[in-house]
Amino acid sequence: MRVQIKPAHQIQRINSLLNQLDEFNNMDHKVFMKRPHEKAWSGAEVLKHMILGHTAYATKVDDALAKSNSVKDEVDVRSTRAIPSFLIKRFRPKEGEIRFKMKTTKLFKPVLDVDELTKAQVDRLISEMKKTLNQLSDWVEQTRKKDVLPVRFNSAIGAVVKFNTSEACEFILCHNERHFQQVKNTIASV
Amino acid sequence: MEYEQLLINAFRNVNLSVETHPEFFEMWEEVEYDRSDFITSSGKVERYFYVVVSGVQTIYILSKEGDKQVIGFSFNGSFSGVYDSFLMEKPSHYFLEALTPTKLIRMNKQQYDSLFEIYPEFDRWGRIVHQNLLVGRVQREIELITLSAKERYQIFMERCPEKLRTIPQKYLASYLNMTPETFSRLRKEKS
Repeated sequence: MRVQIKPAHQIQRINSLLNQLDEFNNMDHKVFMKRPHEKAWSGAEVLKHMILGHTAYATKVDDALAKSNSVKDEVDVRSTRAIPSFLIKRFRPKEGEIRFKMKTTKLFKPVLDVDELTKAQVDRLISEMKKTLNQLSDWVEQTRKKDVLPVRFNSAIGAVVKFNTSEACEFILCHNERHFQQVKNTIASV
Repeated sequence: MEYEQLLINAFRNVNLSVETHPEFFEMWEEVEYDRSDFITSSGKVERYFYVVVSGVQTIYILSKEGDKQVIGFSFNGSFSGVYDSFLMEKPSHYFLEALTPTKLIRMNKQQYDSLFEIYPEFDRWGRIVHQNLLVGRVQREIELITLSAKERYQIFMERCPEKLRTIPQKYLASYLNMTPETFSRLRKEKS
């Protein structure tokens, strides 16, 4: 079954991530510097990865929203197309479990010297993450009042997958939910 | 004060006047929302206590699948807001959404709390408001459990304010715990 996108539900899920981010903000910054093992990312690196992932869509989504016409009645639910739906489903964690391990392309690999990270740098990452979530929330609010379906753009992995704004927002949100789970798992294990 | 009469009516259990309650009338701030704007969203803390100047608002919770389940409505002259989140200063479980263009006046938690310190008569207002809230919620639960869809529809339409008749049927249907199709059928039967 294809993913159904419900903007109010998306807003609720983004708020849940914002609340989790507030909890991260109250933790000792050192927990974000430790890698569970040599090949795994630290919490700070996961945050950086999410920021990079979001930023890759910022201009595309802003442009698409600017080109989308307003609708008379707000949209409660939208269906996704087959390929975006397939991708979105693989990213969202199910019952707190991350499924379908994936390799990250070079473009989205976080480059941080985790051993040298200061509290100020960790705080900045958390603050940047908060900005991206607030921007995502703003995009979702706009998708409720616009006809976003006709305007499509390439996903961050290229022209093989195209998104409309609703699909892009759902993808970014599922990507964030996946990696917030990873941050929690990482913090718990270090 | 622009909304003096509105506030006197809304807080009719307190004998209000600008002369006797000057701080009270100065506490309010006006805000406006477009149709379908979220006034408060689930996961955010409700920071304000509202009185509705104009428009209709709905309060709803989302199911696990993200479907709306309407809990109630507010409209001109009534109180509004996500009251439990406001009182407890915890993230809201609910959405408060403007169903029509909306004008509200609001006060924050600090101002709300100060009412009870400045004016002892607000204790009585608080008692009556909470009493009515409790009785109203229990009554609604009883109706949802014991009445048929047709009975729920009839009772609701008898006491439904005119304002609510103009909002999309899906919200009224959800409030009455029935599908929009059942709501529509009952409406046709009635007419």
